Amino acid sequence: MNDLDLSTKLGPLSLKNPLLTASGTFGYGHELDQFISPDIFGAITLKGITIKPTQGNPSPRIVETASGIINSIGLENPGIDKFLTEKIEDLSDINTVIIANISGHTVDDFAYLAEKISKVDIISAIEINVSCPNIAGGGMIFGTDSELIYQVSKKAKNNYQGPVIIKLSPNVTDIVEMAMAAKEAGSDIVSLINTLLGMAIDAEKMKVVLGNTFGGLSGPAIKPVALRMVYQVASKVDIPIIAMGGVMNGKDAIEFLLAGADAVAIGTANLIDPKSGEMILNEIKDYMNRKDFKNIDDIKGKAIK
Amino acid sequence: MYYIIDNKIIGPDYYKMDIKAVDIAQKANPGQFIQIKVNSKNTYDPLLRRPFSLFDVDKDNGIIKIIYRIVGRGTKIMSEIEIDNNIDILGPLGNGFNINLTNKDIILIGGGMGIVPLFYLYKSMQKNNNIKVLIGAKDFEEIEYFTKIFSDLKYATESNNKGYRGTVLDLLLDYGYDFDYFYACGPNNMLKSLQEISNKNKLNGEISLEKRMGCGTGVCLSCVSKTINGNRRVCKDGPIFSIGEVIFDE
Repeated sequence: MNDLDLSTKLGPLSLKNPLLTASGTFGYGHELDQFISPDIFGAITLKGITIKPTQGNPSPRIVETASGIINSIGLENPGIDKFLTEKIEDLSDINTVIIANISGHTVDDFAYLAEKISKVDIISAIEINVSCPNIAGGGMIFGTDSELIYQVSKKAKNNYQGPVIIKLSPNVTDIVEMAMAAKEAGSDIVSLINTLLGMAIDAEKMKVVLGNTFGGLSGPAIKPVALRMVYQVASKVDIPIIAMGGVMNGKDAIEFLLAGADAVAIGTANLIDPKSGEMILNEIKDYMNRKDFKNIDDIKGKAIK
Repeated sequence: MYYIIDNKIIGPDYYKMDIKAVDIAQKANPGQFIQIKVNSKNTYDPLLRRPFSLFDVDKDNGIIKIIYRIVGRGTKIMSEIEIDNNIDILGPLGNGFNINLTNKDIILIGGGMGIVPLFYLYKSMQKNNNIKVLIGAKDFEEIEYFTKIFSDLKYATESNNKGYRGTVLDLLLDYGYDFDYFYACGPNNMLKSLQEISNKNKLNGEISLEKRMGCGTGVCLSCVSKTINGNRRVCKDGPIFSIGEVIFDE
């Protein structure tokens, strides 16, 4: 029973297990220390960083929907300079792979941020957020245009020596085309999927709920969509995948691995139960024991027809 | 796992829930809150936990108490949970009130559901201070329960002819501003008016803010409030803020 090997390869990255945190749900590594150690994860992805400090969107920024939540946080963050001076040193005691997440309004913004982070040894990879639905004049626009995905990937790759991860938007007609563009530009990994653009209206008040009108839907409600996109990309494009979208338990994580993911991230689950990661890893082990899998690679892509 | 030892109606759509939660009771301070998972295990609807401020804590017996009003499907589900059932709780969360004052004239100001966190505060500070409690709501029925549990209480109602006629801030004006410190909790527009009164009359005090929350643990940044020190998270940096700190602009 103890010969389970959860370690896995995520493209050029070696992970102790396939479970990651999704950006924006685990702060800058230590916010949830009283509940869970970041070290248990295969990797943690930090809250998104922009060039300038960002205040975020007006309240309300969150609304619950059927088995989901819509958020419009708007990438509130201290900006790259403060991140480098204040947040980086707190990461030194974290004993797992650390991924930074960057967002911008122009192709050059991404290139600039990639270059800045390339000087930080403790960060092993960058995830490029071309898919945030919550920032005006940027964000998701990049993720819905394969030519822009290509340009952003290419520039980031030129300015960053380590692995480049492109986090794709599900708000597109053909996810395969987007993943293909990322691969052609030299990206090492894709993250699938960011939130689905949505909104909520209060019938009693006859008004939109979110301060920013639209937001990103996440949670179990979007899992089937995420699963489908992971399956499509895994079937058609030869690029490592970090899958995310409504993973709440070990079974969900396994389903994504079966669909062809190389690693799985939890997001909304961290907001509801900060100890989710621990539980999910245990459930993955239970599954492996039950199905007689000795390592993660044996599970990957097994459901692809 | 914690379990429910009492869950009963105490007013119109108002419920009181007592929960056996030894470690939370040991750690809890007045003004802190808990996050309750209202659904049964293995279902994801409703998805988010619901935050509740602590109404009372019995450290000796390891019991925490909350008072909640049915406002949506989460609280509706909670009102139907029977005693002896387990309940999944995170807490205590957030920072509590400053309870280190002694020998002061103190006013507690509560509007509507904002009265709830003031009771444990009152119990904790009553011995060493001179405390007056002012509360208000639209109708007397909403606050009837509270009128029975505080001593030194005055109350105001807007629509009924019981108690002082008006809001709790009208009642405060009537009482006068001659005290050392206040603690307040209530709707945002009440706290905003209180801030104006406080500025004008040079009052000192602190407030418990309420804001729509996601995680309650400081990571999602849903509940940030503008303050003179930039955006602060109500769940993690608050919910208690000094009256002068918060910028009420929404």
